[in-house]
Amino acid sequence: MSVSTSTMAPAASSSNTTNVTKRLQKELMQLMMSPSPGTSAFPDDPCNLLKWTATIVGPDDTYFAGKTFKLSFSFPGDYPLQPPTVLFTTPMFHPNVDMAGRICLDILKDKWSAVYNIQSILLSLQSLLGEPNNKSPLNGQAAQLWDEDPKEYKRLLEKRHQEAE
Amino acid sequence: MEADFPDPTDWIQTPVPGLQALETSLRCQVCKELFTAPKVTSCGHTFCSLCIRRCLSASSKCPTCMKPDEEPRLRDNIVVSELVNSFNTIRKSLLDTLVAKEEARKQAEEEAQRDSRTRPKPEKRSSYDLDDDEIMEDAEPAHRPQVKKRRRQETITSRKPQEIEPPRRSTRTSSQRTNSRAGSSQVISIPDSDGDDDDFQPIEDLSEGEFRPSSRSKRKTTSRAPTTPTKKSDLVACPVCDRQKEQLAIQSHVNRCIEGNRSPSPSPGLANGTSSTGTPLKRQTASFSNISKSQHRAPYTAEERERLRLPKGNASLAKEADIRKKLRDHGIRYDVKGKETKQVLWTRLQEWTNLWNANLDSDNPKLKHVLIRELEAYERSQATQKHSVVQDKDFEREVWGSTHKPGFDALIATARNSRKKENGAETEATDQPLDSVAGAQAELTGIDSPEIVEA
Repeated sequence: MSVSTSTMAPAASSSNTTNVTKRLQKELMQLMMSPSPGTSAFPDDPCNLLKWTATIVGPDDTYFAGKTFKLSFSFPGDYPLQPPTVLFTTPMFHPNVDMAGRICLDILKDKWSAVYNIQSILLSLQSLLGEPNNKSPLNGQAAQLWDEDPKEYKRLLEKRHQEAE
Repeated sequence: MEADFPDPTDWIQTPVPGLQALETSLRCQVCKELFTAPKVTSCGHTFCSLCIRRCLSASSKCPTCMKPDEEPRLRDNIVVSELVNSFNTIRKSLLDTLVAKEEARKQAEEEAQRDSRTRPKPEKRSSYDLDDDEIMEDAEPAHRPQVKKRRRQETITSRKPQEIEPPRRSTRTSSQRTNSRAGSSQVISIPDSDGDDDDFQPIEDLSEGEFRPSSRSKRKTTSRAPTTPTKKSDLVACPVCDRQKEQLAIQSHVNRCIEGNRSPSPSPGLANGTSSTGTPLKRQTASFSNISKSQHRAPYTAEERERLRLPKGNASLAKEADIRKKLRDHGIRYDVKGKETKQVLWTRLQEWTNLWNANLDSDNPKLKHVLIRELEAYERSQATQKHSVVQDKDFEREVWGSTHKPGFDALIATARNSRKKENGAETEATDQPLDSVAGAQAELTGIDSPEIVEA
């Protein structure tokens, strides 16, 4: 019993930067071993786990079906107490995403909790694609077209998405 | 990689993938490590002592369910602590056993296919099914952990000879039962997983051999005492020093607290902290060899913990001078010239309080200088993340700027128009207001320019 607790002591006594790294390593392992469908994430540089690139596939029955979107994750030094900064790097046309790829999502701001992880963010984003919050849009045009003119929305989305290629 | 970062997913490739769920629930959802000094919140969620203290300092909510909670309401989760400890002890040997078993099975399967002899394969398969089913469907739940553990240990012994000749396995379950006693006693003495951890343990055992177990059991019994409903429900947290006081005595306590704001709380904790660890700050650098030998002390008893607990305090009530004094009393570095803001000092004191209080809960408390080093390391790691805070602020400002930009543009346009008009009428008199308009304009464009560039 005493032996087992002592295994934790050296880990805890090492620098806290490695605490972030250790948690991210655990998350990476989890993502590799049991990924959730339609999402993936991987660190940009194996030496620096604070920057990741992730992809999500648009859910079926949405405007985004079949399209793949890339995201960048940047983790603060006190992750998971603070949320990562998440941006769409693929051009996006969505009510809650602005033209620079910044995302308006409560769990990435004030509703963030330390128990959330990369996987839960990706799943939230996937569902945000299908169910935007049109009450507080970052992209007013997208919010308006979403409800009023699905055809035009689709056209503009295609146009934006083609900028990626 | 597995050796360095043990992870619940290790169990996926074993014959018992269900262990992944077991290990996941033995891990803290914040740090994803096995629980260290687990604490249960008032809403029933369990976290490491340090993790939940940090979370509650950041926002007074349970990270899982977002219900409001506060530090004085945290309780020890003794069963989870024991579960983690016993699981951690068997983890490596269990994993090795299961992985070896799986490998042996695959190998045997391949061999069987190669030989095109079908006999060993179904036999072996059934022995697995039997084995796992027995564990899951054990009739007496009260004895289950023991049975399970014993069986796992048996597999260790039974594996060693059988690894070489897998086909004999079909008879294993029966043979296990016959010599189970001998098997289990044999295995307990194989400490293959904990090689690197024995370093300081014997030293402590030498110095206080009897004290450790007895203090631990004492802690367990006594720490349960405050949780008894009659006693704890009468306790209220003092709004000034955050200590738990009896309801009847709280008024007089608060009065005393307000009068002599700092006297009741930190000094006893501090004095005991240094004396009990036996390494006052001055001596630390000199006797380094001493320190490296024993960086830990025996676990604190429940009384000690209550006595040494540092109050959380209140940011708006605390005076900067008081914060400085507290930091100085604890031997924590701060800028003497006063270049650090109150916020920085306060954050440092909060993190120190979290580290200190969590350390009190630990089964293996660290000495004070180790904690101070951790505090410094933590601050260094925080320095790297400042950019993200700035980004958040920028983000808000940009949204605000872009939504109000038309308004600013209109203002600037009217200002220009009026300037033109007034220019024609009287040039000298309008000089002053014009300058201010131009200044405001410059300011506005100064604010606006980043948004324009980025948007």
